[in-house]
Amino acid sequence: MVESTAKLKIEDLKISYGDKQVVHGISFEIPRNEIFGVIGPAQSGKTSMLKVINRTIDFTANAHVSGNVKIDGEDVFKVKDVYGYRRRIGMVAPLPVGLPLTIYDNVAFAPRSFGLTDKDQLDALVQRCLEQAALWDEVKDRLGSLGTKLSGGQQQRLTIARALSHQPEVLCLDEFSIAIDPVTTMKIEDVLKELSSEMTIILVTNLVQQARRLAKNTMFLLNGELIEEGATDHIFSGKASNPKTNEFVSGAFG
Amino acid sequence: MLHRSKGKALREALIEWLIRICGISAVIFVFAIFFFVFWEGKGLIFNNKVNINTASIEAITKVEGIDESLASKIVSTRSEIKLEKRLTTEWLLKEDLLDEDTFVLIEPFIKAKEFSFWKFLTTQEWYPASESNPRYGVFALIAGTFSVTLLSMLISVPFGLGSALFISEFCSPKLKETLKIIIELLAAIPSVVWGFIGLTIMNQLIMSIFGAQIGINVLNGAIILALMSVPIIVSIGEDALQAVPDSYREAAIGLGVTRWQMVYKVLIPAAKNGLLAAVLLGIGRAIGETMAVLMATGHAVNNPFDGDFPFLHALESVKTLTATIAAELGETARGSDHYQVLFIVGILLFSITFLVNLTADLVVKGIKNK
Repeated sequence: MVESTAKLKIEDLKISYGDKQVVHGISFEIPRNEIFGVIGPAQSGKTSMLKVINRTIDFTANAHVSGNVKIDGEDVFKVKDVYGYRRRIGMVAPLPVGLPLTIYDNVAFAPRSFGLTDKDQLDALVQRCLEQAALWDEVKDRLGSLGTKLSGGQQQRLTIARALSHQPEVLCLDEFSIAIDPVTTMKIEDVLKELSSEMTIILVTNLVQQARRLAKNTMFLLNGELIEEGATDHIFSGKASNPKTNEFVSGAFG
Repeated sequence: MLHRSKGKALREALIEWLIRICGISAVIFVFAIFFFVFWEGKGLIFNNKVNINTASIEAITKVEGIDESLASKIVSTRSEIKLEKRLTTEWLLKEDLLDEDTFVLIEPFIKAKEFSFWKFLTTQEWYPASESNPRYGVFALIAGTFSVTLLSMLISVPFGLGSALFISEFCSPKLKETLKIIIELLAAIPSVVWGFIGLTIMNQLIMSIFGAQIGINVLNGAIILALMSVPIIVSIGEDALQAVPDSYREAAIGLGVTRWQMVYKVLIPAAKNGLLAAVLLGIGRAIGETMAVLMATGHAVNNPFDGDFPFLHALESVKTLTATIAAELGETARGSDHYQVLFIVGILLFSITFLVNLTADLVVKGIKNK
């Protein structure tokens, strides 16, 4: 991995909530324009790490973060326009969150708030994002109904469409497929492969096979420690450097 | 197989019944109160041709040709049969108490008057204690209630919802706890204390700032009522905002919108039912409040609305429906016309709050179905 291709560079990241430390000084790099898998059982600090990357951790009152997180060489904790920074990061949360707006407004919310008001452009953008999230065919006739009334899986795809709506440089997917059926998951995975040529995708998942299918590089986190990071093929080869990795990917625990 | 013990089943059935009774009791109480208020006021509504004259012996004696004994006979006979038949002209003539000429003279004092519900609602003359010609027009009282409520809502809704938003979304956790405690303290101040503040401090302030001749008026009452409803709006509004799941906030913030855009576009729509409930409970408090408005509004019959700019004259004293009942019911004889009219005013208040609640329900339903 060459230094210049790294999109995100994380050094000695420590996160604690109150007295409880959840991430114990991890360092890694996420290469530009590829899918980067993050695997690990629950409580391993995956979601907290994503919250640091898009800086929503600012809203957690008792959270304390130390270490360096750099995007394109710029320290994310020193960016002047934090709202503008968050636009560069797309986030898909593990639980589907349809905002209490219409389906159309859910997707158009972010672009509108940055000043895109042209109706035709918005229409085209909404359609493209919903198509990428494999949701367009199901909702194209009822864009005006409430996003919260969709089923769980549909809301999850709506969340993906919404994350794509502000054309992020980095797309963070946190367990995006737990509420989605396998066929639709496959459709979205295909879209992700396509998207990875133009944006960096961080794929946090419990489904180790999904990471194996999609990610070029994969990182294994356990209890807030970085166990191993490297090419996905190597991690899943059964010949990984750390025996815990081999156990986890083969399903021995987690 | 496991069996439930009989004792346990019985206990559960008992608890279930107790809970059911608690639930039903609310319905029973509402109907009982409504029935009582309606019963006390029914005489005037159904016997629309009734004597609503309360002339005293002294007043009748002043008429030529009637001495004190005749006057007292008229009055005592009248009060004896008053509740049963009502004193009508036909009855007086039949009993041979008077001849036709004398009757014409005392007619203004004793003649049967029609009680018209329409006139009751639309006229502004409220002279319930007049001996020769009592008039019961509540329009000015309704206008008084509405003017004070409206103005107080104009003040308290923006302040209340604004504070709720600030406490819930924008202030630090430490400040939040302090503010919540202080606002709860504000809600615990008795209404008579608010009335006293209106009567003394606000009175002086309004006179010196606006140059009004009397400081106890619509504005005074509205400010006092606003201060009383703000704590309710804040605490219920804040609860409604807290009930919005954090995932909404995180999702919106993650999209890179500003905090205000998140609040305006996501939080307020998500919490709108709760916020509406907060506003309506505030309105309910404002309409129903009695003691503070009685002390702060000046308690003079006046219609502060008119066609001229600024339409609502906030520096005029008014009398409200609730304050009227509170101030006058103790002075009336049970069953008298004035007494019954006050109960009709009560029915009116009932209807107004019912309408407010009904509108609220319909609005909330309308929002839900959208």
